[in-house]
Amino acid sequence: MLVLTRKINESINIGNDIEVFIVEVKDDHVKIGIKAPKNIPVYRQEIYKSILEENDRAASTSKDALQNLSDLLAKDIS
Amino acid sequence: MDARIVALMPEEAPEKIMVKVETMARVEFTTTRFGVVEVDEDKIIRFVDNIPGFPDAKEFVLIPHKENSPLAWLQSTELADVAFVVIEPWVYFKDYNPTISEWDLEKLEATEEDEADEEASLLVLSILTIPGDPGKITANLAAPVIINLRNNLAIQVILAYDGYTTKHPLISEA
Repeated sequence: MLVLTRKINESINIGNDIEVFIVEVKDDHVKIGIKAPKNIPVYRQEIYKSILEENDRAASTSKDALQNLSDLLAKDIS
Repeated sequence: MDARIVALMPEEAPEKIMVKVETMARVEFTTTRFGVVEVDEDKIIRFVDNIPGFPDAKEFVLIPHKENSPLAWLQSTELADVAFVVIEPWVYFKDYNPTISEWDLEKLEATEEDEADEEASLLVLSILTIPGDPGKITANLAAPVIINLRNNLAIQVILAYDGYTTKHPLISEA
């Protein structure tokens, strides 16, 4: 992993299109600004991780679990 | 069963699918839940980006849960044990309003015509998580699966800024 030291208001370029700014440093919080093209999705790592974990849980649903659920849902929908 | 889901599904319940001589190429694969499944090649749904957590699962088919159920299985053709239970989110979440970026639409090769008529050409599905206690079932509204019905290209989008979570309860606690 590349590690760089930056001061406030300095930035890092990633390729030609992405720029990452250090906006503010306060105690153990760092505020970061990101300029990137709209086709590059940017989100906190926890969001991606939570979706990955939820997919993992959802993929192992058994046929029986859905069968048991069917009646419950049928009532709920009607 | 929503008519648009039916259109994508194998014509018969997987248990009853028989080998038929047809001009359309047929694809056969083994699953842990449904045994051997055979579908027309044009029923295969292809993910244009990785599904988070499942980089090796690119191709899926929709298999109905049962007649008149809003539920379906999104079954991997490549990984026998990978299948998601899905539902059109509006069955339970009438105000659901996901933002689908123009970049995601581009990946799905959605034409301007498709975008103008999103309801007819784009199928939005939410993945359900069903734990041991079925009353605690949740829908992942933060990462819906979008399928372009005209070409069967699909993507799981991440709605980072719409305020949805991966765990919206489906059944309100009475």
